[in-house]
Amino acid sequence: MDILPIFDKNAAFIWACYIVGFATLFALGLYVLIKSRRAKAALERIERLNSQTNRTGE
Amino acid sequence: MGMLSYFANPARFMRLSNWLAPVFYTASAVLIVYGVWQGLWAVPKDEVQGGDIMRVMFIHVPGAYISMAAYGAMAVSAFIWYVWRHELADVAAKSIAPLGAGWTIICLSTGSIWGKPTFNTWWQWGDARMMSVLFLLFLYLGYMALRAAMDTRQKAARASAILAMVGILNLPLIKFSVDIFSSTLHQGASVITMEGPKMSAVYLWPLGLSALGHTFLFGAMVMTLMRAEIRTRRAGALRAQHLAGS
Repeated sequence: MDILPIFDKNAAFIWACYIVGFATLFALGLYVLIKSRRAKAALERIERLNSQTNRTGE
Repeated sequence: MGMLSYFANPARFMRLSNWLAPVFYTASAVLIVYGVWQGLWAVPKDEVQGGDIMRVMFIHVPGAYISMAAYGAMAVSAFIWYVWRHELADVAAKSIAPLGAGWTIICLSTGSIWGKPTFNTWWQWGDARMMSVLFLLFLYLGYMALRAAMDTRQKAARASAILAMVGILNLPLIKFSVDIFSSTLHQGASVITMEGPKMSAVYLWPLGLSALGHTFLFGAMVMTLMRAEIRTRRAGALRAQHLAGS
């Protein structure tokens, strides 16, 4: 089996489809990862702030 | 209704998705890699479908299927929020929109590239299938824009829920556009038909497993975005509490 498959005259269209498809999936994955990390960091920050305020209040 | 309320608990969802999302990510990676291997290396080319170009279906068909299924899930979530006001349903609808748009872009772009060698055109403005899928992308973008334009979360949820529910009428139009309208370049249905699949098993199984892989990836990403949205809302509530206390 070849490392890369050999296609007929439409090879460029086939590769273009797979590259565009997986680039979009990669972009979606990156978006999800950034959203997730930001939300987690924001919640941790406000929880830390609240616990500090509560300790000062006591 | 009882079961719906059971699953609409954010704390329960966070516990469930904490282990379910990684399982989904793993399953999706295995199945999508298998689908790519089948599509590019293993399955024989089909001269009836234009030779090697039919290998594009292993990315195009899952894109098309997820783009429609995602919209259905978003509309159902919007309906649940609209009727029962379960916040988790609104969180789900909001999380599905950008992902549904992403898979619709995969469907449209790979379909356009496939169309050039097959129909000798990148795009046909009079084609019912192409135009109804393009309209689906606009529905997703409109949904996100509408949410972003509202000044309160309740207004955003209500307005976007109505749009999501009305827009579901586009789904049967997409599905049956190739049967109803004669002016379409797109081929007729070959997987979901009244007579059963018309496709050979050598293509059908890898295609089904590839679509399943995309389903797992979509599900995992929805869960991750929902977890992020729940945390964002929790942070907002705590911030308000903090400001009220200071």
